[in-house]
Amino acid sequence: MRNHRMFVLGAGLLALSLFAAACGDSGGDDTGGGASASAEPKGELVVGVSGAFAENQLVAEMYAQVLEANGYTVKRELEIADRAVGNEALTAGEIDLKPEYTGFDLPQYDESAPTNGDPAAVAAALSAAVASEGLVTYAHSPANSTNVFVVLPETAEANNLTDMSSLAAVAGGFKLGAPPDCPKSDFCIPGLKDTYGIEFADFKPLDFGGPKTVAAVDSGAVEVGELFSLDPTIVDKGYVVLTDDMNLQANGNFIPVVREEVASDELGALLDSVTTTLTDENMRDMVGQVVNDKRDVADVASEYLTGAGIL
Amino acid sequence: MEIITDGFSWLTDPANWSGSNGVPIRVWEHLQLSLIALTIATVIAVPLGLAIGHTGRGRFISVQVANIGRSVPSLAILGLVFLIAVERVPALAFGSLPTIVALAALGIPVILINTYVGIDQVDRETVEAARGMGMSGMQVLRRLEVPLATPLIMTGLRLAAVQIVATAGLAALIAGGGLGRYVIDGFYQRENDRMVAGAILIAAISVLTDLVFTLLARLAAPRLTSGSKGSGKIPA
Repeated sequence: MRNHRMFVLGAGLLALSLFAAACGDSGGDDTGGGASASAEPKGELVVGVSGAFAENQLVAEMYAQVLEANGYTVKRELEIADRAVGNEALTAGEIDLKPEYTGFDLPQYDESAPTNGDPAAVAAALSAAVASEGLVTYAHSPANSTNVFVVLPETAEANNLTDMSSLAAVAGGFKLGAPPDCPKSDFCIPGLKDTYGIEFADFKPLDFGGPKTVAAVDSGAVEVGELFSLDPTIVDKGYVVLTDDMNLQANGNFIPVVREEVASDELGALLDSVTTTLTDENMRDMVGQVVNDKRDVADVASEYLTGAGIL
Repeated sequence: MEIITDGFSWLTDPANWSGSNGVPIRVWEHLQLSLIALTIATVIAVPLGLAIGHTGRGRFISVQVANIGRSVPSLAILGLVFLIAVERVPALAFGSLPTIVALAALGIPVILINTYVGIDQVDRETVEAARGMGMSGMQVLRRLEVPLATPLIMTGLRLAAVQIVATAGLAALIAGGGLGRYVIDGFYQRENDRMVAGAILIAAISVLTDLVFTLLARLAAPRLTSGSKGSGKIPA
């Protein structure tokens, strides 16, 4: 289920171009950031991503803009294909920081640490795990990019559904639409049974939070569908997200992972000023603007930062 | 090659032969989808091919359309029909209906062209002779053209059947049943042995289908011997 963040195409090429870019221009910070002439010039930072997809690029762009406004010179590497490439670039010093996801990045450093449960605990575990790689983390976001189970509002109302626990009693009459790996995924059918006692009448193997799942929920072919929590479709269609009240899913809270060499209290405070304001709702809205309305990531990010009074 | 032997070991495990996800059920679903699609394709394509071959009308256009039809991937048809079905008949969108439409569309061109060519290649002089004996157009078709075209019509059916059976695995892409289930689920659930077993089963029943239709073609072949009197022996 984490496959959605794995874009392997061109990873090698990207790593190469990244390296070239990182070697390219250093020490050009005297020219100033341009965004804010008033702030005193600071060092140059290379901001990367955990993968070249909208929600992560948005967060990275927000970090970049806030840093620029406060005197840093920022280089953006927002096309890094996937986490593996990004993590390598980070430890190699080719990028200085990138937005990550607490529970999804953690297994890259510590395979045995639990990735679900209390978000703060998972964030702390990631912080501890990356320390040995010369990396630090700062505050994590309330926004949680993970798997969610959704129902139509009518279904929620008729069956009094608010969270996953409330689903257990009625699931026996429902069909579940989820990715084909669901019967074997700890976060899907087996996990739902163990954690919530949820057993569906039937399972329809569909796609990974894609159009088939949406179509199946819309058409009533399934009553419950699995989507990604920051999918703007959830808002567009007015689906009811059933709260994961017993924390089955891995936590996907945004968290910046930063090279210790460039880390400072000031940098941390600037990153926190962005991260701590991010919620499922405002992220879905921004992702929708990028994915559905084809708006520029930088425009959407700056609009949000200005609107939220961060810039 | 270990992956292939893994597939065969999966097939020999009795646990995989029972239950709603067991081999017999999946094979049955697969054959059911294929048979329905082949029937629909036959019902559409054979009469059309007969009409075109017999009258010679619409020959160019239908052959062109059939050729275009052959080059449209079944996957594209499946996707298109799925999208339409989701809008119009959501209850039928997931599973059989789009698959059957896509498979029937796959079978139609090859049956149509073989039927048409089968009729078209019947010796014109023989047809003239039959007419000279006072046979009506319908009689010519039933007693002469169809029996003589039967081998080619059967070839069309065989090719269509094999293509359909080999392609019916697509159903799994839209939550349908059949042997494609093993391939798709095996892939996503990282059970390579199941994925390979699914591929082996699909290949095996495709080959079997070919054999069955070869036999059927032999049985259906007209026995036109020089000694045969009258038309009674010729199947219509």
